[in-house]
Amino acid sequence: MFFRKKRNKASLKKTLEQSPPPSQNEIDAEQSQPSTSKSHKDDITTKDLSKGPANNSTARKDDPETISSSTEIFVKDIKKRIHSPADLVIRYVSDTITILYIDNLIKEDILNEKILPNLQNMNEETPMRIQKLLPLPRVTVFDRMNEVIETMLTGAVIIHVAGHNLTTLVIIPAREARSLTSPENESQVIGSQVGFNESLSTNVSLIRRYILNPNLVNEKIKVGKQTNTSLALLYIDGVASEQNINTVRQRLNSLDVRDIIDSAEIAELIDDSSLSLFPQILLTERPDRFCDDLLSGKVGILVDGSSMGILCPYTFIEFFQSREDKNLRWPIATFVRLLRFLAIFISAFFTPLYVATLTFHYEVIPQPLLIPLSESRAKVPFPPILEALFLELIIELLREAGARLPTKIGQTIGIVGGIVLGTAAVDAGITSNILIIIVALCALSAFTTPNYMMGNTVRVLRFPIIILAGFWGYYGIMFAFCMLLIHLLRQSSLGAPYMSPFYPLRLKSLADSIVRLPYPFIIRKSPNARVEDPELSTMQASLKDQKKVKE
Amino acid sequence: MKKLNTFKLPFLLIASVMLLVGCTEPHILERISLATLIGYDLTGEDELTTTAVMRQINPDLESKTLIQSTTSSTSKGGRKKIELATSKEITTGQLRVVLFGEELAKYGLDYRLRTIMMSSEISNAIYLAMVEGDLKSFLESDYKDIPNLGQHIFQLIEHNIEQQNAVSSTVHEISRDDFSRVASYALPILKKEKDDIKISGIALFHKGKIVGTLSAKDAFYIQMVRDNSDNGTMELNLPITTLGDHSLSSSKYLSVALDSIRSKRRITVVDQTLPEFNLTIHLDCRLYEIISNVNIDEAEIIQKLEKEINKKLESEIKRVIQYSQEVNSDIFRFGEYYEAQVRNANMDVEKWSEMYPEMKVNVTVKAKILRDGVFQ
Repeated sequence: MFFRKKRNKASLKKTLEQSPPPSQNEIDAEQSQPSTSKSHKDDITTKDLSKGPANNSTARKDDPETISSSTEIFVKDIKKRIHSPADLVIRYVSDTITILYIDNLIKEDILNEKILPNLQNMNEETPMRIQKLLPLPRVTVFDRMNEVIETMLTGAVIIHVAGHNLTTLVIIPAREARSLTSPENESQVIGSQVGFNESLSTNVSLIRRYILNPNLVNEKIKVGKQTNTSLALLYIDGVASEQNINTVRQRLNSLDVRDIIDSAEIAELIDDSSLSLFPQILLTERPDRFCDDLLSGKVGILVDGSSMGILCPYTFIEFFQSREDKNLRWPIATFVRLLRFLAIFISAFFTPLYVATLTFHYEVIPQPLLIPLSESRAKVPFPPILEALFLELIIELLREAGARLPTKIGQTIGIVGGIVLGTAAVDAGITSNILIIIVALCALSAFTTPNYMMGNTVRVLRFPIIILAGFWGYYGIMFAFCMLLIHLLRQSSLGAPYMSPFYPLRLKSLADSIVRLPYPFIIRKSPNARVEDPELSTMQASLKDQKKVKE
Repeated sequence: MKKLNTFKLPFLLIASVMLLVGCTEPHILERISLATLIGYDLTGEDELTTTAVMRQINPDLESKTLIQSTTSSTSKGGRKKIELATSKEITTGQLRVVLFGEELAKYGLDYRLRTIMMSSEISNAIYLAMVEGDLKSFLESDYKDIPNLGQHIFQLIEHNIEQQNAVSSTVHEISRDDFSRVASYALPILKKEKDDIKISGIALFHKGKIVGTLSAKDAFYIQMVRDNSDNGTMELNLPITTLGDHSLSSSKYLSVALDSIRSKRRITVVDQTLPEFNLTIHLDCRLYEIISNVNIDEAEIIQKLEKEINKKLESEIKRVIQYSQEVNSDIFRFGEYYEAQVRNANMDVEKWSEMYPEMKVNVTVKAKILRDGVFQ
């Protein structure tokens, strides 16, 4: 369903007023109760967790659900709403004050040291007074039930005072998170060694550590009817183009999904073409790469509970660039980049070329190669296409087994499978040893792609081409190549051309795509992320005093 | 309905891939026998002897060459007859050399050349050559030191052409000359010598028939007139008096070995009616060897040497051209130059055949010894 939706282009105007998330409406309708009290909106400052425009929903006055002033009814209400879980703690502090929270979701030591003593020593308690007196930064007063529940589930203590239609919530979330570790899927030799973890707040703080800029915008959006996952939409105001920001925001807001667990799902849902083999949006676990791209005008999304950040718009060529290229000296980085581009072609076309040549085009084999090739093939009873598919299958099985198994066993499987199966297959005369070299070379080439998602695509691409090569020879390979090219040219990322800077040809960004230029020569940082201020699209790296100090 | 449309294109693609697979004709490398050399000769009146040298791959990891010979009136018929005696399909995609017997060369190569040109399987870069004597005995005799006859002959011809020791004779070049209305072609001649094969000379053709031969040594002069080159070594015997009394040698000649760095030739028509051509060859060369203890450092001596080299080369080239005029075989493509430079020439084979023996060529060689320090 979402395939059609995404075709609509985002409007150019920034839409500040947003409709509330659909989840709230549903709960409202279900739990409608007769309104008994007036709205206290005028004299209280309702503050939500987020500053984002998505939660400006307190303005509605005809909302029936209010907080009961009676303690008993309030507790009952809460229990009913969250289906009286076993970890709900209800504690009567004094005659009038009741506190409720979910065990392990809050920091218990703060509750014991700072909240409880204050509450016990309090006389003349009202929710507003409690808010003022508690020595904690995030204390808010709510007058609506669904907000109370929502906040409590993120890690807050409800303080209810009998006789008041308001509750005070103290937000002290205690979220278990993995400590920061080095990114394992996108490792690099030199450069920072920190990766995102599963906590949204930690990840945002990592970004803020790299970019100490007031223009870094962090918008909060909630997605998922069941999971209520928070997303952070990050961009740098003035650098990222408004059109791109609006497109991303619109796509996220118009998402109608129930469950979102990981950012990869979001990436697939907001892709330009979800049916395509090629990813159009980058997933990265490196904060430095994330920041790099934000600075070059891309829009980033972080998802709570996921250690992968989303970046868009992206181009095909950028998937083959690594963050490490910028840390290496430019000739070396250029060499590595060219090696990677070569690897794409080796990986996709080397085995098919072998199959096609040996099946149809024996004429093109150079004479010195004729004897070793034919002698290694002489014992093999299968046609080249079956032989190649068989070997490729072994390699894929080994890779999959290695990825699924624990690291220690995985390595053993790799060695056992690789060496034992390889030699045995040649000895048994099932495959030729030249093909083993070719297949290993192809597998190796596919693993040089710095991005895991793109690496998968490059690897899988080979199979249809092998089959076509086995059926039609070089015509099949050319056919596959043409189809691939047509498909790639049709793709877009946030509406921007995917194959830029090659098509449409953008000479200014062409240079930095294949060659890693020295800093002062980089004209445009990203091939297709349009930048609001053209000044910011260049890599400014000149000397302030015009001269380098030599001594 | 809309869903059906989305999947129509992929479905049609897959279906066509599946259905059209039947139209392809696979030649799996180890299941075919590769002919690397084919020889044609004439036996009797019209009978064509086809001899093929084939490489066969056996499961016991030993590839061996197989020589099959048969007679029929067409080459395709010959191939069919050979097929009857081999276990695998014969393919000509890896063909490197086509040899013609002397008898066939006398009879005419035209039809054989057409057959080779017409085949899409056969590359245009393969070499053609003529064999002195009987072709069948040439190919079927037992060469002890040559395990693969096809490859051996191919490499023999290839490296000699590269070093300007033989005239280049790829199918492409020969067919160009053959289709030309005015030019003729030349082929290298192979000869069996005891247990070895060597290039013994150059065969000159006219209208597809052999008309004369030149010695293998003359290939260098022919190549120098035919084309600009940047390769090749030559040995010249200059008169002993070249360097005055300095020579201590008692031999009749002063032998010099030259290595051509580059040679450029220029042909212009001077007189259209006779016709008369000016042929100028600029030769930059390196002095490799000189059988004399004279001091080469002196500029005077170098100039003397150059002068004598010019004289010698001019006379040699004149001799070669004169021979080709005698046998009326325009292997230097003077006719092409004439046609290109003379307006409304309206050349055809007969007209040029009459004009060619009457042709006059003024040969000027300008040799320059650039370096002589190689042996010092």
